[in-house]
Amino acid sequence: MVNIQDFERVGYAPLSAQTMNRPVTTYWQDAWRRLKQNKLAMAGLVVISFIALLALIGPLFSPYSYSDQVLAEANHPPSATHWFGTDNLGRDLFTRILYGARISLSIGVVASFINLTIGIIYGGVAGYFGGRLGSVMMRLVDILYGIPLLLYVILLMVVLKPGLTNIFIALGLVYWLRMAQIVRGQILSLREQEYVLAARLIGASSGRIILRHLVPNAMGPIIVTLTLSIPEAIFTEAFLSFIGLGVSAPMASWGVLASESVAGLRSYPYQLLYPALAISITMLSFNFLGDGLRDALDPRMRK
Amino acid sequence: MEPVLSVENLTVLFHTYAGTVQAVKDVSFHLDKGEILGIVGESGCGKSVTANAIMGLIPSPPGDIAAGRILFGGSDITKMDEASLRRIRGNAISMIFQDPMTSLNPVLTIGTQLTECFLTHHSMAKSAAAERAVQMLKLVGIPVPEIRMKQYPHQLSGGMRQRVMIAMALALDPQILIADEPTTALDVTVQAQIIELMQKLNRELDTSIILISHDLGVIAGLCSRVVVMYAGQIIETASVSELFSNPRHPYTHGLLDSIPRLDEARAHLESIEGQPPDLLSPPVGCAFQPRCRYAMRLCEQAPPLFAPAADHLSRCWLEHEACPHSLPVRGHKAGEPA
Amino acid sequence: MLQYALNRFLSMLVVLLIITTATFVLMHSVPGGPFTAEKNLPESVMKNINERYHLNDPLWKQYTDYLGNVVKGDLGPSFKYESRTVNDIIAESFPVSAELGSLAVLIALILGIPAGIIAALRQNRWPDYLAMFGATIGISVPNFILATLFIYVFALKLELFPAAMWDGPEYAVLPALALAAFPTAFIARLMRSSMLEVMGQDFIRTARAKGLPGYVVIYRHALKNAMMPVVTYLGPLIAAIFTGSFVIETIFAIPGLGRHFVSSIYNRDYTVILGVTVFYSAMLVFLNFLVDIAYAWLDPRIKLDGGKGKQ
Repeated sequence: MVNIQDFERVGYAPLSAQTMNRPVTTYWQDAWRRLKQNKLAMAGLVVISFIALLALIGPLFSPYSYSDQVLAEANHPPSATHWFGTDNLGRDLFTRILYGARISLSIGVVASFINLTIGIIYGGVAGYFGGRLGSVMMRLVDILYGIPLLLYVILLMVVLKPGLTNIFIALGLVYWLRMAQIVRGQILSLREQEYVLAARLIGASSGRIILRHLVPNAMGPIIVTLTLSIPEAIFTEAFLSFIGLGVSAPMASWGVLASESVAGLRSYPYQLLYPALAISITMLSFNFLGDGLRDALDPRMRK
Repeated sequence: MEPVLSVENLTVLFHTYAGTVQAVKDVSFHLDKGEILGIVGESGCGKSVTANAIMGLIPSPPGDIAAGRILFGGSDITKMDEASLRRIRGNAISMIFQDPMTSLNPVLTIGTQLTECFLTHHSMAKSAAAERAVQMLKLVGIPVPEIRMKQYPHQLSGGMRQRVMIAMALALDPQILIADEPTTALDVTVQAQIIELMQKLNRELDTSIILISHDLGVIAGLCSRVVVMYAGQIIETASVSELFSNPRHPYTHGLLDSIPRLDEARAHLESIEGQPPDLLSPPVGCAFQPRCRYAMRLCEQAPPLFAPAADHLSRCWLEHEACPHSLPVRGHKAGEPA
Repeated sequence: MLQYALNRFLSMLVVLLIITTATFVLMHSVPGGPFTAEKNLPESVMKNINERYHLNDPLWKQYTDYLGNVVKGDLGPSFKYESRTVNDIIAESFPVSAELGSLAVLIALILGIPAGIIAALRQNRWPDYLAMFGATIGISVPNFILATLFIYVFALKLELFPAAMWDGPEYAVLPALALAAFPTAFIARLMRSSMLEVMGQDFIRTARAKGLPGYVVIYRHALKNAMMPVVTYLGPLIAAIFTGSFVIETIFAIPGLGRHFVSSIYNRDYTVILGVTVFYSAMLVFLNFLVDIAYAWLDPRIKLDGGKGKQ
């Protein structure tokens, strides 16, 4: 039952009611929250961190070096003294895998960053200046995309001779195409965005526009592409090692370890197992993480 | 005379990872034969969800018809199985959508997309279906229809695409056509053509139409009765003339006030301050209260529907018989949009 | 359409020129010439070799000679095997690679496409999780590791299939599967995301609203649209199979062009390396061209208006 007091007028404050029931989050906080919910991606992140940690400090704890040969102990299966066994020259495989982590991971990361740099410069120039220059530059990228790039990495390695720095060069010089496309695409779409116009209208300078608006939103796909190009680089290096164009002995990347194991596969399968696991788990983790990042950073999915 | 469609106390929920969204709450209205009913409201008020529910197109997780009935042809649509629903869709009840650019399949010809309407619901020869398709294209005013049949959507203009959509919707002479924002994506001149077309088809084929729009001008031009929705609920129902001359809800008042006028000198644009409520945690009382100039203490309780006049319902405590306040009267002639 | 095809054809020629030039430059940038880089040979032998391979001509002349030869289809003699030309080697070993490669492509398409479709239609339910988990493994485990694993499990331990050589149909099973793993996985993921995107489009909603049954909506309305990105992927797919064949053929001792390529790298047989690179690149570029044309044919927007489309 209603009584007359209920009809008493109350104040009118519509804007105070604007506080949304959900807390306001920034783009990054929201993305991080979504990423956390993706179990596979988080597992990938944890594994990568663990492997990186092992790569950094692991070798310090090992009593063996990666190159000490003790022929008497060649081809021993895993045991208490040699956790992963030994290879055909008596070298401790566990240590070699740890060092291999250093090499494979650093190749993955360094090559990807070289790609990133070249890609940002090329894509940035093409996107920012646009016009004929931009179109011609991107046409060139389209054309280059049609070439089997791995063949050229191989050729470069043949010419440059195997070795760690040369691998950085070969991978870095060849795989920047995708990053350039992404960067340019991002810049183009951002230039069109309404809010750049809005920012200009209220007088923000170009530099401020670029920094506060363009860059954070462009970062999403760039981060995803970077994360996903690391396993590609690791794979390419393993591939090169497998056909004899990788780092030079006695340095061991996981690819080298895998290819060395093939000869004794029937008798000593563990020599393949551990490098294979190392490569696969690392690549899997990066792929899960990259997929998760892609979903988390997708602005359309923001709720 | 029995209404051709009767929606009773419809409630639709969506179970999302963030919680349960109450998209439509206790919505009731009816549609008479040959009538054009308008549903007005801003984005997110639940009008499209209601339309989808009538077609049985609410995806079943996460959507959930929690309560209510939709009566059509003696059966309840909410309880029908998929096979029965498919027989109705495109056949007895059709729908056209907002954006004709994206609503047609770009890799199939107009002819294919039109003839499949016939072929799905009746067994007939392809040539017979093609003939009827050409007739439909003529009916909606598309010139040289035989050529258009072989063309692809991207070769037609926006207005023509929307006409094709209407042709597909009316191909099987449905009893009800639901038009969800049919003119919103079109130029103003093309809008007028489409509205004219819909009027003509309503007259000639006696098709009942539910027109959903946020554009009051379009509603006024076409509909005989209007339902106003806000935050998933119906807050006012009346005939068009009654609604525009004597709106009995503060939200409707606000909507009408916000239409810019050419014949009055006004210093600024009126708008309704504030935002609609978050449907994840809907408010307990009247959903419009935070934005309402006339809010009272009583508004903390959810208002029922009152009947301030014959065939005129309003969900507002101001319409309570004991209420000492009332909405100001608008000084406009009956039937003229604000 | 014709204009589009011509456009693409010209691009193809440009790419071929770039490829040939780049490969030539790379090969000749090995300091001191291919032979001196490797061993010390007596003067007279060097003189013969230089004359025979025109190594004393100025570089630009060597280049134009080479270009001329390539256009004629002559890729030159092998540096290491006195009596054989690069063309011979290719002619002999490419058919084997082509067989293996085609098998892998078929597997990738026949397994990958349905897997992707099913995953999309059963999104976030167990068929989706299963398919996508498998697909992620497929793109993460390098094919040569899979190959060696297959050999260990199926050939050495279970003795179901042979571990090497190419003497009959059972020899093709393990290598083809190893080669097809990555492309299958990639296609499955691609198909899934493409289907999901298409199923969310407005015209699918229209199709449903017309009362079309689910399977018609999928195969008549959704599939044709969803297949487009997969068609685009055909070019890179074949490239991946080519490069994959290098290691797979080596591991399984299959006498294909890939294995010859790898051994020519070990042997530093420069004309073979150069010739095979040009051959593979040219094939790929040509196949990409064909794929472009096929794609344009399938998409009426490009077919009828040369890619510009109305409004």
